[in-house]
Amino acid sequence: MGVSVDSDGAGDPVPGDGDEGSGHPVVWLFDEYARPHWKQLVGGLTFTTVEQFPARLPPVLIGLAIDAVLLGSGPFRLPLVPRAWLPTAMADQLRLLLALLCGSFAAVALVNFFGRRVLGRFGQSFQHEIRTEVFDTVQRLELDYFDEHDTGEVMSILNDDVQEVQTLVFGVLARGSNMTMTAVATYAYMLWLNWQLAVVLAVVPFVLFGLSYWFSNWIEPRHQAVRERVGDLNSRLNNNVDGVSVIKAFGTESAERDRVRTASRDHREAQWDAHWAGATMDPVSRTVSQLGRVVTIVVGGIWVLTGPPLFFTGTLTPGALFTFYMFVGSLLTSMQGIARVVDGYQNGKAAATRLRDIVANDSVVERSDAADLDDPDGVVTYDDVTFTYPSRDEPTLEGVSFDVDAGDTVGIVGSTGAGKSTVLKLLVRFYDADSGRITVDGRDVRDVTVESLRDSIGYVSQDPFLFYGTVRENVAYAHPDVDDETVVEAAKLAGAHEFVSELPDEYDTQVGERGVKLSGGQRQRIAIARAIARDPAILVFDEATSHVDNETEVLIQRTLDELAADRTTFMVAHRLSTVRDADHIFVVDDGELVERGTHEDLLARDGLYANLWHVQVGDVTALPESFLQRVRRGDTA
Amino acid sequence: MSDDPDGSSDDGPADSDDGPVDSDDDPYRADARWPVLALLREYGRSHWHLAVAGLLLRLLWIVPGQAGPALIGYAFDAVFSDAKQFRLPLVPQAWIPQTQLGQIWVVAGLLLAISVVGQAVKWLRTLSWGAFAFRLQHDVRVETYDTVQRLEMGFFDDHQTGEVMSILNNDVDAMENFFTSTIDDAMTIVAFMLGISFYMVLLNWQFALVALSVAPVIAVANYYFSGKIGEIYGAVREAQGKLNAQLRNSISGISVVKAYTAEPFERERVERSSQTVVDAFLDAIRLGSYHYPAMRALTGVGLALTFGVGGYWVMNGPPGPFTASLTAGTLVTFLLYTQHMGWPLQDIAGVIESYSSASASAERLLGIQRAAPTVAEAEDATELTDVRGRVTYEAVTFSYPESERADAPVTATDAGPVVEDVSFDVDPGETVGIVGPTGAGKSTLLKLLVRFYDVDRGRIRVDGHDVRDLTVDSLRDAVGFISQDPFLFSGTIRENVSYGTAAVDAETVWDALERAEAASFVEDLPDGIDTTIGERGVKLSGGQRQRICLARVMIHDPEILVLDEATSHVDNETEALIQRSIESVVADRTTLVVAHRLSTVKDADRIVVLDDGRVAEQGSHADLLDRNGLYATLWQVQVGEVQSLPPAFVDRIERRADALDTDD
Repeated sequence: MGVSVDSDGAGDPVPGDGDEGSGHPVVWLFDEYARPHWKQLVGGLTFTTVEQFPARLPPVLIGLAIDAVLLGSGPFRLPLVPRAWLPTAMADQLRLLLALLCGSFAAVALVNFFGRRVLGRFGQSFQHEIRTEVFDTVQRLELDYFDEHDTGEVMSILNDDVQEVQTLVFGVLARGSNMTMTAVATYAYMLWLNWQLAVVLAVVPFVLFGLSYWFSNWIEPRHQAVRERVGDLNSRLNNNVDGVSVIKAFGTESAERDRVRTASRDHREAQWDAHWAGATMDPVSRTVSQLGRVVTIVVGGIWVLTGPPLFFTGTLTPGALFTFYMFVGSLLTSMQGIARVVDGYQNGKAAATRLRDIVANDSVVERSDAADLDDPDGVVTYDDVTFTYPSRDEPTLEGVSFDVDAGDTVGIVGSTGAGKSTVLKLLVRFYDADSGRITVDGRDVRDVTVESLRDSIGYVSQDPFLFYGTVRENVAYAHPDVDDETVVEAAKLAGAHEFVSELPDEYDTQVGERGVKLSGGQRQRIAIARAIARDPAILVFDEATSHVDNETEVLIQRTLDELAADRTTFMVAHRLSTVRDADHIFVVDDGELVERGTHEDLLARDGLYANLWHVQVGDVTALPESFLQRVRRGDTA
Repeated sequence: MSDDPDGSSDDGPADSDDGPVDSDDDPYRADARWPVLALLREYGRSHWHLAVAGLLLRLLWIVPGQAGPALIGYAFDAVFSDAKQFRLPLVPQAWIPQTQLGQIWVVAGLLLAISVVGQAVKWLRTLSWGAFAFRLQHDVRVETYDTVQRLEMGFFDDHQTGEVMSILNNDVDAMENFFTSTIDDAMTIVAFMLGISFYMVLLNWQFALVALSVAPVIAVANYYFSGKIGEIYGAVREAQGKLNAQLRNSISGISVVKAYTAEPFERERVERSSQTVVDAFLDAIRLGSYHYPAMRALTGVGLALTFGVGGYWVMNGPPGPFTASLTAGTLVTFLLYTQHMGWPLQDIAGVIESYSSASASAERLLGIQRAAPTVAEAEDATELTDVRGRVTYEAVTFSYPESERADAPVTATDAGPVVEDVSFDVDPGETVGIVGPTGAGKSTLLKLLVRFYDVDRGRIRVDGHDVRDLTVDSLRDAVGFISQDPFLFSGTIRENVSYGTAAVDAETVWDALERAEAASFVEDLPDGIDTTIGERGVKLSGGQRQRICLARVMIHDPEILVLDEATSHVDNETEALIQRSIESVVADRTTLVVAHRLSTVKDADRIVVLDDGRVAEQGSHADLLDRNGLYATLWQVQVGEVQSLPPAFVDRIERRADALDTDD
């Protein structure tokens, strides 16, 4: 089960603003992956928002204390509590206020405690869901996607973009609702204390909000410039470190130092520009805040001392003024976080867009009525097969036809880019032919299940990729039904058993990225063991020895001969010495099968194969000019 | 009541980043007790005036910066409640308005003035520190780069580009960040605490004791929590590292995943790794859920204490052992100060962490500075001029220096020297091929010629001079080196071809490209020789890049040419092209060719066959075939006569192939 049953094969949407089709990317993200955990999300957000009411209470309490207890300048009252329940003695009132103060802190601590846990858990579950599902979808995408996008790009999405989800949850959602509820709670209290002043002061935060927003936009291009210069600088440093042997060989150290100095200077200038802008932005907004508070003091002060100024009515007590002063301060401070919320939102949206785009790509289609291919003999035919890579304009294979009997060994050779590997990639259904058909044991490969097809083909490529795991795990890769005995058998057949037995933990030795470092030849032999562990009827060696030195190739050759005995074996090779003894040799040129026969036949024919052979043995002068011209022009590898 | 000014603790658990190399594996660390200071001494000197200015500005404003709440409290007493008379220090009573309204305006005006001046001072300070930090960063970066690039090849063999970049990039940035953010934060905390303490003590030192009593508790609690959090985040980073490796592994090997229909298997693996990360994070979240509320609660206790004791004090006079009286206004001031206290104290832990990170970075930067190049130039070195191109190897013996990396592969050093007692000479204009099985030491001989390393015993001569007696520059100038990995810089083709040579016109470039058999494909490129190649440009194939390198060498026109497996990563056909193109170049030039593919050296004047670091055979292709020795056997492999190989040879290959990775 390695495919998705999907029938409309919609094309790859152009990555961009993510506003095509299904609406807003962030909404899509939550809709798609947050559903199983929606209760946690709602719960967490509820806690976070409810927290703000007790959190904003202390300034009110202190203001009341000033009025009723300390200065005696106003009556003692509490929001929502009827006058009758309140004590009249000042000492009692003070004690009540103190109790409420402690109570509010306790409430905040408690609610915060639960809120963090619940929302934190949601954030992790959400991210885990996204990470696993997106990975699964990505790994099932058609191979063409991976041809076009390198590992770095894909990792950036699976890793960095998935991380952004945390920022969306906390930096945007949580903080955004926090800020909103802070404002709501603050205003609720202010309105209760003195609705007129509250209404007038409502202007200030909006002013600051606008100012913050405007500033963000003003400074953003400068940040962008810094990012670019950093990128340039790092590119240059990276490039130079990679090429240090060339620098030494040409003695250009001083020149390179100057280049680095210039790039660093450019960076510094951009940095300074952004720094200066940020340094100026901050005092301006803080001064505006302070202005807001000063206005409060003046208007409030006048009101307290001489009665309502301007259009105001009613009384204002010093305690209430104090409360307002503190509220205005905290509100303005809170507003200054807007820029970060907006920033977090932009980044989150970009990440969500990329996630949505990547999962929208195509995966290989399996027919719903596909049957298993059981225990095939390994008869393979290609019937007028034509294929063009989706990303290219011209066909890579054109009208390729051949028949191979069970147990035959076939060598496929040709110039670079001629289409040799492509022939076999179609057999394993990494891609599907545009026209023509490929059959195994008489059955079209598109009619059988992908799993059974790939199970009957052992595929070894030129890059012996081993996974992070033990030798045993690698040989038995992904198939629990391969027992230890089979693993050892396969290793022996592949010529790997000897060196594996000398490893520190033998078959339980860790190999791969953080494990023991094996040579190219050793890794390749393990890969071969992996290929034959499931006893496939067909073997494919796709340039399997091209990155291995001559001598190791000899070893592999000798074992191959044994392995290939009863199996239909295809060998794509660059080094003609590899296929010299094959039953058939197919010569591919520009997508077409131009010559076929045995090594001796083809040499006698004195055609393309003969030329390639001359290159192999170093008879360079014997090569015709036409051959050379083609090579000069036609590098496609 | 206190705010989370920037909500930094609401960001959810922090995530790890690819931080600098773990200092435990680092051979390049200086041993300085205060590495940051040491770094400052070396690089900060030329900009010290900026740092001092910033510091002074900060000191200047410690007291005035916190005057606001004191003023407001005073206003409460003097204006709203007549508990005091309205006065200002340094201002004669005659100038002060007697009406309450007037006094309000004065207070408001002062508050605004303090704020404006304070912001101006802060602006200057930020700019000053910023300038200092950026210049420091620039100097450190350029100097460190220069030092690194002049280190000898041994360093680069031992360290991957990623590690070096980490130092040039992450560590340098860490220093800049330390100076712009961390120090600033630290000083803010100190200035704040000093400022408020000043006013509190001034107004009522006894009450100050009460109000400030919670501060040390908060600081200590924070410190304790940070330690715990640090541990947990260590576990988080590790889990993330593994998850990352898992994902990368699966994506890199996607064709294998598909070929083995291993998608469900991989999904499960990723799910498990992801779950491990989630679990690690949940630990962090659990801890965080205690940390933050605990801090809030402590701050609350401080405030409640101030409020409760202060309220009682105002109403009923000094409680217990206290003697001074407390006015409502003073209480207001204290409440305003205590409200702000929680957040700076929380930053302390962050500052400490930042400091240790910066310290580690500074150590690495200093360490690199002190890493000595291993190939030294003799004081009285002579320039190599009028090169005729005679090269002689005399009893050369060499082993690679012990690798300092803990995870280095077991190399051939364990089995003995890479080359042993190698002697041969090359006459001017001769072409000599050097061949042999893998690990025989072929490439090493070439590296010794250009002094990427120096021999352990014996000597190498060019035109009779020992290479160690020559200046490195003149030696490398006389030798053109083409390796198997054709490295091109990001830039245009023209820049690459003319690299290292003074002004070269377009015609010369085209000429060289022509001779390198590269002109045809360059013509087909969008901008011809002005096409940008490399990371952000057109991607060329291995064969194309190699031909550009060839053109580069042709312009350089050295007297001695060295080809180190130059065609091993290039397909047969391109190799044929390259062979033909260098035929004319090689004709009258001393050339050493190391090759694995025997077809490459078939036509050399002489072939030297190395085996296990020693010279086994020498002669022309025909001679050696006749001799039916090692060379003849290798030739059999080349043409695929695999079955008729002598069993002794096959055994040897097996043994060699079963040993772990060897470097040639």
